[in-house]
Amino acid sequence: MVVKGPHELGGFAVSSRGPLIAPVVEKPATAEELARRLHEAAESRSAVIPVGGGRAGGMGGPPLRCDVELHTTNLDRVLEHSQADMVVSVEAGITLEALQAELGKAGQFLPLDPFNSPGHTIGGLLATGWAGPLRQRFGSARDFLIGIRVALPDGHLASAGGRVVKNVSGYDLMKLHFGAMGSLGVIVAASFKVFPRPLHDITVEKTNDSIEDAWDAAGRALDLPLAPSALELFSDGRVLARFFGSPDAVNRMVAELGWKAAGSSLWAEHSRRGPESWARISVPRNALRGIVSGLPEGAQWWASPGAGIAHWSFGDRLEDVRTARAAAESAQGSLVLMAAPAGVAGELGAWGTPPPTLEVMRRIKRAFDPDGILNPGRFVV
Amino acid sequence: MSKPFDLLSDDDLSTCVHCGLCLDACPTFRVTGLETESPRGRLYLMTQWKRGTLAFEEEQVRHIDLCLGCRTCEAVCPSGVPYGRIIEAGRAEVERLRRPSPKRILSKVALRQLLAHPTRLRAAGAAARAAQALRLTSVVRSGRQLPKLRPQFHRPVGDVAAAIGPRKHRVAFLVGCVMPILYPQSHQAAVKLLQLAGCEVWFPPGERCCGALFAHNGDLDTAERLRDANTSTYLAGNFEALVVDSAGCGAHLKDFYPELEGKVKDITEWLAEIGLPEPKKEVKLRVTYQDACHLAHAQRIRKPPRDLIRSLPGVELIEMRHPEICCGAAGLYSTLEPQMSNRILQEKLDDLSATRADVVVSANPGCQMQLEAGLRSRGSKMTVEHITELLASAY
Amino acid sequence: MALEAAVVEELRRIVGRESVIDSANDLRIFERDASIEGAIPDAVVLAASTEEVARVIKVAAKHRIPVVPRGAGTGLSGGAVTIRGGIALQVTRMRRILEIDTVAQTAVVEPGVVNQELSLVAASHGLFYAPDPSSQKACTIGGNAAENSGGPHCLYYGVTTNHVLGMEVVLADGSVHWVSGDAPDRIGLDLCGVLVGSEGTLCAITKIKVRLLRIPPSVATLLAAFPTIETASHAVSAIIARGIVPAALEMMDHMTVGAVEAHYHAGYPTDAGAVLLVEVDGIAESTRELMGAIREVLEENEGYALREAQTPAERDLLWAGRKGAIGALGRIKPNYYLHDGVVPRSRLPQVLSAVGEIGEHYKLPVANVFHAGDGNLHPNILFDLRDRDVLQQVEGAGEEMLRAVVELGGALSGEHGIGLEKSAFMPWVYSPDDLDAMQRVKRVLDVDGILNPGKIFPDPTREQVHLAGRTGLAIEAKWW
Repeated sequence: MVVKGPHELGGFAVSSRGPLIAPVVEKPATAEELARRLHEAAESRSAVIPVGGGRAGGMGGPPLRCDVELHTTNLDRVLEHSQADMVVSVEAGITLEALQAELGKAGQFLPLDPFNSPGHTIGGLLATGWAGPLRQRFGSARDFLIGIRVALPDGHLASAGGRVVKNVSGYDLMKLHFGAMGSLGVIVAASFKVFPRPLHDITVEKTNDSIEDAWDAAGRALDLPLAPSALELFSDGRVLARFFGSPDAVNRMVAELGWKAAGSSLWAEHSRRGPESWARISVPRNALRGIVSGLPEGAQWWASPGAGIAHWSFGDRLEDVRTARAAAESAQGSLVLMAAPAGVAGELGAWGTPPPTLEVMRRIKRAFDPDGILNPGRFVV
Repeated sequence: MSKPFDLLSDDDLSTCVHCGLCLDACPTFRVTGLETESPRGRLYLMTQWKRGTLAFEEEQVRHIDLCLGCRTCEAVCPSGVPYGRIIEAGRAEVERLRRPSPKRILSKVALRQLLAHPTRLRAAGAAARAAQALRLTSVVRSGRQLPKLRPQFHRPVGDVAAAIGPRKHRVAFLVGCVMPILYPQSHQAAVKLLQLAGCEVWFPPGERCCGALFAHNGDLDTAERLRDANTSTYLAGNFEALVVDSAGCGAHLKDFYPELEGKVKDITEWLAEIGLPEPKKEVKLRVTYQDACHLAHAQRIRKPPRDLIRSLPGVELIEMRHPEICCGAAGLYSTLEPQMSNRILQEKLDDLSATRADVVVSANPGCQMQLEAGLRSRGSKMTVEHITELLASAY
Repeated sequence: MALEAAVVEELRRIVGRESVIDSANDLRIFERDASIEGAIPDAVVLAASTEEVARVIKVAAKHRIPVVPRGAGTGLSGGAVTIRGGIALQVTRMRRILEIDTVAQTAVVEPGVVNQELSLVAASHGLFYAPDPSSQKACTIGGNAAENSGGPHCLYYGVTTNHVLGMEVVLADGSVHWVSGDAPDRIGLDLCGVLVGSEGTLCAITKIKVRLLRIPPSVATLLAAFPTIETASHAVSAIIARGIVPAALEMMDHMTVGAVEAHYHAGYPTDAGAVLLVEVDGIAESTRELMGAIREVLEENEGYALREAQTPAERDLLWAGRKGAIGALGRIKPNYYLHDGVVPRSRLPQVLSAVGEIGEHYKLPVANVFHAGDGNLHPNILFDLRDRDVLQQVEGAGEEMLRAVVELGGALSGEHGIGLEKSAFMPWVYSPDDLDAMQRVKRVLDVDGILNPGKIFPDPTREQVHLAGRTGLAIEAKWW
């Protein structure tokens, strides 16, 4: 299916050099068709931007070119859900919500709760590597992605991993594509290890008079023998903690903390956060407090102290972003723009200082996308 | 002479499945990082020799020489490779095939001339003691390694020491060859403990060296001769247990004296079994315990000594890192392979000093000597005691 | 083929005279790891630092000599076997724990640090390193990272790749790089993720930064007997279906239990058709609740003689039996050959009965001891290598078992790696396009193919290596 029409890429309506010509929008119905379209684009050296739910469309540098938008939205099937094995395989265009609904029928879930929800597709989440508060306990999708299928610019479909929870057969290319912003290929399907819904799920909340108190409270919660599965700290001094586990265990932890009970609907609300201009600060866990404390007075942010991550709605304070990035990078971390107007992304740079292994990454990029047609300009390679 | 490598049993050798779990238990692998200096490598080498797939050359004998015979590998081996038996056989073969070296001949002669003849050994001990008194030991290197010698251990008149209190057991006590000269105080403490525990202690007259050092160094013929002589001595007596306070001798008696099966007991094993009376004194000491290889690995006794130490009021037992790893003494090893022995000792001394203990306790004279020399060289204040001395100090 | 004298000299100048072994007889001792194939290296080089590793690899690159990094040599897929000769680059002397950060809960170690040693040292800070291969007493963290090793507790905690935060690596051109680090979400491609588990074919690992976890305050370990391996398999699925993911869930069959009990005297019920070892950890409330639920499930599924460890010593003994199980099988036959295929958990009963039938067909004893919770099989085919005729049978049985795994939707290897042993089977699970995608990475990172050549990918040109007059102990290099 080919749709000629206005692009759907929100943030990238214009490149730094002026308006783009409206790209061709393709919404293939099968992985094979998607691979063919990608190959055709590669043959004609057309630049391709893969699109999922469009929720992370503002991430990355402004595309240098965009000739074809390759949407995965029609690849939205659950390929196999084996309840007993707690494994699910899906096409990349399925939304997280649709997948969770399917898993929920079996009392299972995927511990992914990205911001700027709802509407993320699985492919988009893998390509961007986004994760939410539950990362505190479950890690990111990198940790439970067990198989992947990717369309490559040469038209081939290549799989890695499998549908079992433990697998060292061949290179772990799941890791290579995870967070690679579609720069090596377009993810068309993925398999995950899924988790049983917790026996008990309790959320508690504490408001604090000062932000220093809030950090201390968060630290205490994280030091509990049964650490929270999610713990979020907000710039207004609020701390939210979510405990999963057996009822007695969870109740004891909650009693030890003595915070006030809160509804779990808070989490859905939290995950809808997705400001127009925001950044993710990722630093070693013990450096986070210092870095976040260095953000300008009145900054709107929220943090996952256990993971070493904070998100910051920076508005138009570009100079402050530069300062914060320098601080994050000097702590061996990074500051990445999650969304920003193209001009801002162009001026600040979406990713910051490239890693010292950039040359090695470029070699890998060339092996998969020799003509550089995938997302040109958007990622670091 | 029989065929080369006849002493090595292919069945024994083939129990090794090459899994490698023994590697990091081996002191020489730990310091060299080499497969050739690991139990698995040595077994592979001997297997190839045995099966004729690798020619015997002097170059590889080095790997056999460097084995301490500590048998730590044997204790961790899940497939039950009888490493101690294999390496003794391997060494005996190697001694038949290798070019003789002056150092080895000398040590072999010294062994035969001294250990197998109690009177000569006692004379040598007296000479060494005299040399120490006259401060002549700097002349002889091995003299420096010796502990400060005390008047040697003497058997009681009539070769029997009565129980203190009612007699509950009758045991035989291995006096042995080296202990009465080097560590008479350990023996005295051991006998006292046995008496306190209600044992009548019999000292078999005419007993000779148990033969352990010969067997460990490839001289199985002498070891067998000594065994035969000793066995008839022991069997002439009447006792519940033959109690041994030197781990190397105990292990050898258990492995090599089939007619004593079930009767040989390490002193710690025996005391833990029959129980000691309530201690009378507090012993305010930080103590760390070094497993003697031939106790921990060959005899698999690790808990009883620790239980006994912990039972002393006032004693704090602090475990060092890797108490089960050899200190590098290993019988004659420290003399024959001083460099490797010292590399292993240095690791041990690091682990020891990290415990900040007052006393390190072991249950074997070889370990005591090695640790004393090592601690002395580092100027450490930590002292070394035989476990019997520590226990006896509470009474 | 021996290395040229000039090359040996070059190597000696880098690492020192004593640290290059090129005596033909000594090299024979390095021909194997814990798997069954063998090949003699042309030299063994002991490196003591990153710089030495890098310089050795530069020399190898210049002369196009294969380099095979080697830790303790406890691998089970032939990963450390120098199948094309060349240099066995031994990192066992790089065994320092460089840093333990108790606040960040991380450690930086050299590749030769023994897995259990790290947990031993970390324990004094209340921390541990989660991946625990059964060979953890001897295997190295470098080897674990290269193979992406698993272990019993990976059911709950995840495998090595989930615990490696970053690595210092030397690539095939001798260049040294840090990949990733302790901050999450590194910029650019996740090189670290790809290099973990690359089996020495993409890099030599010289430092590893790992995550440490807090030692859980409460642990409960339970042993249960079952009349048959099938009933035990059903119990495994039933536990998971209850929504319980234990820390570990291990199975041993009748034959294994017998061998283990003979060595460890851990009180395993030798009359059982199979036993399950189940462990949960966390805070006391959760272990109590979970263990209660697990007991119910086990009993509902014909479990009997349930025995919970009452002391840490008892727990250690139960685990010693499990971890030493493969070695203990040496009591039955001197050699074992095992694959470690993974099936979806629900297919365990089917695959185990297939394994049993294959063993019977070939008249070979097969002992099963495995990570049941993950569906990660370890069927040990037991034999005596001195009986040369048996080899064909062993090979055939192993291949059929792996075939059964794949036909049930499984994977070739859960934790041992593909190595030499299973490279020819890769086309069973991956298409030529899949394999090509992986090999693109290999081609750009190791242009001349000097790093651990002959591993992972099927090699159509692999010739029968003629081994007449060689040791006869390692199985000849060409199996299939």
